[in-house]
Amino acid sequence: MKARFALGQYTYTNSLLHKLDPRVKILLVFSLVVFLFFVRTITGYLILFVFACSLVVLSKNSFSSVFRSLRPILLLLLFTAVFQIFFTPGRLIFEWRFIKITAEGLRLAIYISIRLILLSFFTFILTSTTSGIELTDGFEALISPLKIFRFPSEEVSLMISISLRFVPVLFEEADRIMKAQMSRGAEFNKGSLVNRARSFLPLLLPLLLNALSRADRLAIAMESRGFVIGKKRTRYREMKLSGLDYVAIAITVSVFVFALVVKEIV
Amino acid sequence: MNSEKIRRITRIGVFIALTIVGAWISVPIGQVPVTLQLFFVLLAGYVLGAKDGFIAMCVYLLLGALGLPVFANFAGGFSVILSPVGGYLISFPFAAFVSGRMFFSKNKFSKFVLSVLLPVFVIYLLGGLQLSYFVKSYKKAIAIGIIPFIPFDIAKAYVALAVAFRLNKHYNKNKRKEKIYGR
Repeated sequence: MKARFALGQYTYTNSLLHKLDPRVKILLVFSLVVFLFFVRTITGYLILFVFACSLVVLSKNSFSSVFRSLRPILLLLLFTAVFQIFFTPGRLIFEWRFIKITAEGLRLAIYISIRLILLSFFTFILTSTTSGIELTDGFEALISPLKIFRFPSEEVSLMISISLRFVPVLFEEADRIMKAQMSRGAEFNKGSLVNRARSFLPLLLPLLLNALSRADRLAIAMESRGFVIGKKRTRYREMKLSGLDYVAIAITVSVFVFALVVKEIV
Repeated sequence: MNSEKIRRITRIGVFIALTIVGAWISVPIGQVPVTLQLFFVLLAGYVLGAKDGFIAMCVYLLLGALGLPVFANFAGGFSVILSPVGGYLISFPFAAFVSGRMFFSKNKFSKFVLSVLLPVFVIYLLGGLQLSYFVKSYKKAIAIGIIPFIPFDIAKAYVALAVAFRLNKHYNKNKRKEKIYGR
């Protein structure tokens, strides 16, 4: 449980991928996620899969940690694939009582599972090599051009960093309150549905009241330190593009174009 | 103006954190593990109001799309939003907006009844639509993705409403104190 408190799989292994600019990483992963849907051949997906695996090796992460991060979405994946297999109309290839499998369904299921696995591979590489602070900094820099359209990019990134900061605190607090109420004899598992629902009140009310008062105290603290929204601030960490970033962009784009234009060999 | 805005931002931030924590805590009620995700979605509307609740849930989805494990069972990433259950996630901002709108209306009926039923309906509508795209039939989507959850979801929504009333009471009491003593 404790390991998950850190939110995400960030592990510091001092690899080349950790040295990349977070803006570049976010942009590359997101364009990969979007353009993944334009790849139409199994060979193309195979190339991307090899690319993703080599990135994992390059990031000095173990494959077991990749699979650990895949585990939560495994059920979803199975769910999706099963739906595709059984509910797609088309040419029948297998029939047993009420179970009908069509060629189209099987094809769709394979495609969607590969896409989902690749998606989670790429997001794993992003979150395992980029800390929460870097992610928000990079994200803020990327959405700041939207200011022209009056999009509150500074506010949004502030919300993100506040929420990431508070998740472990609130998680621990919820755990503590639950144990405290249980030691006083609270039971979350007895009685009718209404009673069970009501038994959550002693857990939720203190959690929420504490959380809201924390939020208000944080606001007062920020204000008293002279925080003004929209004022220009200087940064502790400056982001700068290096040669490494250009190399990463070039490699990713060329691999991707290759995956797009490659002909089916199977 | 500035202090009001900072307060809004910190509250939205904390509420996003609460939603993440709520998606992680799953309590077994009977055989089914129940998460508190829906509870916090509706509460975001009740406590922050329609607009801020909407913003909070949008940023929550954004965090998930960035790949952080903020959804139920520590899942995360764009793939979850595209999966059969993604429709429920996409509906969260709208549900929070509707719940806030209804809760702060002067009409008693919409304040006590619609504020619970309408957001749950919004979640089922969008969630069911995306699910039906995968199972290729509306009837099946309703049978798998909506009917089994109705009692739990309504119960959670009512608890959220009850909590919201208590919170507001407490909060207004503090506000009155602030008025007397000055802040």
